[in-house]
Amino acid sequence: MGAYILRRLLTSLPLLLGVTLLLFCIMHLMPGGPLAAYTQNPRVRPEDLEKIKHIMGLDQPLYMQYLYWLRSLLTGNLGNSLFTGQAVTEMIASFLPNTLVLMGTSFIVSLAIGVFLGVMSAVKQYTAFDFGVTTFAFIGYSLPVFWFGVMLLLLFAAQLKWLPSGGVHDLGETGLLDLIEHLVLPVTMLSIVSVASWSRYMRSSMLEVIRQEYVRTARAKGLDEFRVIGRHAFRNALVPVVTIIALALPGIFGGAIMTETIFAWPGIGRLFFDSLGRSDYPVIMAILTISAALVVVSNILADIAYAALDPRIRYD
Amino acid sequence: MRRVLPSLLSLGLLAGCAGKGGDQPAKTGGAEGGAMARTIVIHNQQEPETLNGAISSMMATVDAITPIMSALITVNDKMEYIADLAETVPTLENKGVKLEGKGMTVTYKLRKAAWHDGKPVTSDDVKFTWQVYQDPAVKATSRDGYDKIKAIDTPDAQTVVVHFKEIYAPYLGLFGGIFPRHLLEADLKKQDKPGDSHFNQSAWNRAPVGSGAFKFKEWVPGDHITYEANTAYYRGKPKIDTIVFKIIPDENNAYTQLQAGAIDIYQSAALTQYDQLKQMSGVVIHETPSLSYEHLDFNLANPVLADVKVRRAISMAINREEISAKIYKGLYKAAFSDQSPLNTIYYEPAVEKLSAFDPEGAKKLLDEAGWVVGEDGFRAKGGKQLKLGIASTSGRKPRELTEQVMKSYLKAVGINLEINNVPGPKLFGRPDGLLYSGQYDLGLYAWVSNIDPNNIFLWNSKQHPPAGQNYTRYSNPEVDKLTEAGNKTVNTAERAKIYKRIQLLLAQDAPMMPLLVWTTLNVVNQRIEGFKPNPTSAGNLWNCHEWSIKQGS
Repeated sequence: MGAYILRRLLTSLPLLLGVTLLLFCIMHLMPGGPLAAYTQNPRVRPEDLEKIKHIMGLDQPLYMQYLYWLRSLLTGNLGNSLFTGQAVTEMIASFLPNTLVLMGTSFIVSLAIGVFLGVMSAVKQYTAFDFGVTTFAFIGYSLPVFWFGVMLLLLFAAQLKWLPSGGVHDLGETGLLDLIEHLVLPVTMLSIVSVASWSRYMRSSMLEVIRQEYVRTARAKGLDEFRVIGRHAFRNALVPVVTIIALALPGIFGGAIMTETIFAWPGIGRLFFDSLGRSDYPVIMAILTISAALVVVSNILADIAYAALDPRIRYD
Repeated sequence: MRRVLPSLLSLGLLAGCAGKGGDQPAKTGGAEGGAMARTIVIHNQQEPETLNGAISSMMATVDAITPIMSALITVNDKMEYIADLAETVPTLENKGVKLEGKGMTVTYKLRKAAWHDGKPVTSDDVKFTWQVYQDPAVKATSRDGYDKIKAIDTPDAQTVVVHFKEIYAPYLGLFGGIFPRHLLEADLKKQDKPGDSHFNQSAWNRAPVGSGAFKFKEWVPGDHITYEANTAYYRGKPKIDTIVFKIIPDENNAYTQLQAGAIDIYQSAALTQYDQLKQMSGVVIHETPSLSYEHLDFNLANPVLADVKVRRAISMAINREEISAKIYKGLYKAAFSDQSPLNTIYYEPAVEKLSAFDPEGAKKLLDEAGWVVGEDGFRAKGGKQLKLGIASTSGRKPRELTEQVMKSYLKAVGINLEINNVPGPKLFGRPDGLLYSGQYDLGLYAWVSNIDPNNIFLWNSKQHPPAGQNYTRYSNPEVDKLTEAGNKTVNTAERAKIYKRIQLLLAQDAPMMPLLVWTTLNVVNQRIEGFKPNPTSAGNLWNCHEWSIKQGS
């Protein structure tokens, strides 16, 4: 198993290198570039722009810019932002905790609710409960999330004033309770879609499993229903769902642009969006490369999880 | 990137929710009680990239540094120059400015002021500020003006004598933020890589020590920036204790926070929220004319638009008043000049009659120019239809609507207008941007005018791209001379004559059609006193040391 993981990790290195090259090229195809931020100011003259371009290193040929970036990646520092002048690692470090809190909470909440609803509606197929969950899933999946987020904001923050409207904390507050209050609305906005889709996957996967013969055998052995479902069926039904969940893992790092914007949540999604808006190349490259690496890692994790869940799957 | 999301408030479903928003905003920081009672929280849509004004590309930075930095001269809400760190505004009349042959000398007397670390602000700091802008390794946004300075003398700690190589009329716009030599000189001299000064990456840029009315306290990235009162401020101790800039990218969220009393000042509110904001009680809406104006650029390199009759015809066929009323709720007012009507010294009101709405006149001009109406209703000359493209930034609803309306105005006089919008960077970028590379017929976007009337970069024929920003490729020898003379004339009355003449010439030649002057909506909790919106680059916080909070609130 250890050798397998190592082999997977090593083979993904050239893949990641290729991904960074591709990202770099696509990024430079975006119109405008970093200097566009300055051109709407009439006081910025072409000679000023030339100097800014030189200091930002944008007058170098493209392949040199890529090699410089690669060097900064290999030394572990991801370069400096073209606009804030800060080290990119420092910027990511200051936004990441907020994103982890938001996305992590929403991931756990969605997972718990989604899996529970999925299992229950499979077990109680074609009951009122199942129809209820199905209806909810359809609504949840088809809601335009930004609209739903704004509705939450206007209803619970503006109208009813039950919950704060944005940010991680009220000014001057740092407590956990305050944090939880601020989490409720964005987590609801984020979870509604994941719960809707994950519960559907869980339901169909579970339905498939409970018709298998070993489940019938388990029942015939005289096991009670809780054990049949909980130990024999559930564990096997998780295998396909793990894939779906593993695909969602990199998103925990990347944050959610919409949610973070609507709820003024200072996370990676906002950092990425702002950086994209002004073509801050080092920041964009850093976030995309880390995301790409996480996709690779979570795929490996998913493969490991398959083996753990299903003894028939082995890697040698 | 301005508004991230289209205003969702306009959706019918939300109207019920938002319409009832008549509640009294709560007190800011209510949970904190007395300790936070004298805090003013200001909304900022964008996070400043840095608090170093010399190297920032963003307007958000200007607002954010005004409370902590000192300028030699600043501008008040009536668009008059006022002394800040300098004791008086130097002019020819008070002998602060002396013309010496081709050059000139400006003398400033500094007030007794101190940096937030207690060290005195001296004439040497002013000299250092110039050196910052002179240093090629500094990522300065603009060196315009600073590169006209030959030398700076500092005969004593309170006196600055600036020697200009040539006469430079916009001299009062320089030295908008003085840098402390004792804190930044080492950074300036250090180079992180050849040609890149550590000044660009200095820790000072994110925790500046200035000399303004407020001191930097903390910056929580993406969330807020906090300043506290500088009790030793040279223009008087501020009446409030704390200023907080809260970064709120979404306008619906800003609206909600204003209503909840979590912010006191909602800057540049969305026009789509105007009706809801009017119903909110406990707040005052300041409708302030801005220095930005929408305009239509004509690309004179296009042979069709090289004909002044066609340009004037287009200008006369478009009804500004109707666009203002129908698309901008009457908030944006008709514009006729590249100078702001607020700039009363320089604005020429006569241009308003010259460019009035007159579709019949437009048709006559097009007839004269030889464009004949065909069977399809569009004009043609030599078998070629009179068809023009219009480019603007995509994703801005009001601009897209304006283009639709223009299409019908122009159709009425026989011009076929084709809309081709592109993302902002594709319009403004270089070298591939449409304006810069000249791959457009008509361009719809906004310019920002200034308290100083200098417009050489827009209209002088030496400023055609790639040299400058004369995107219309306009060329008129008289305008060339006038724009150059304008920068060399320090006497205000003489200067006013020059710029009024330029405005009349522009109205006749029509290289550009001014459309609408923007209006800024600043919505302020009524407990705040002393808020006086300022359209210039001094920003709304220009007088924040005079702001106070009403007793009993």
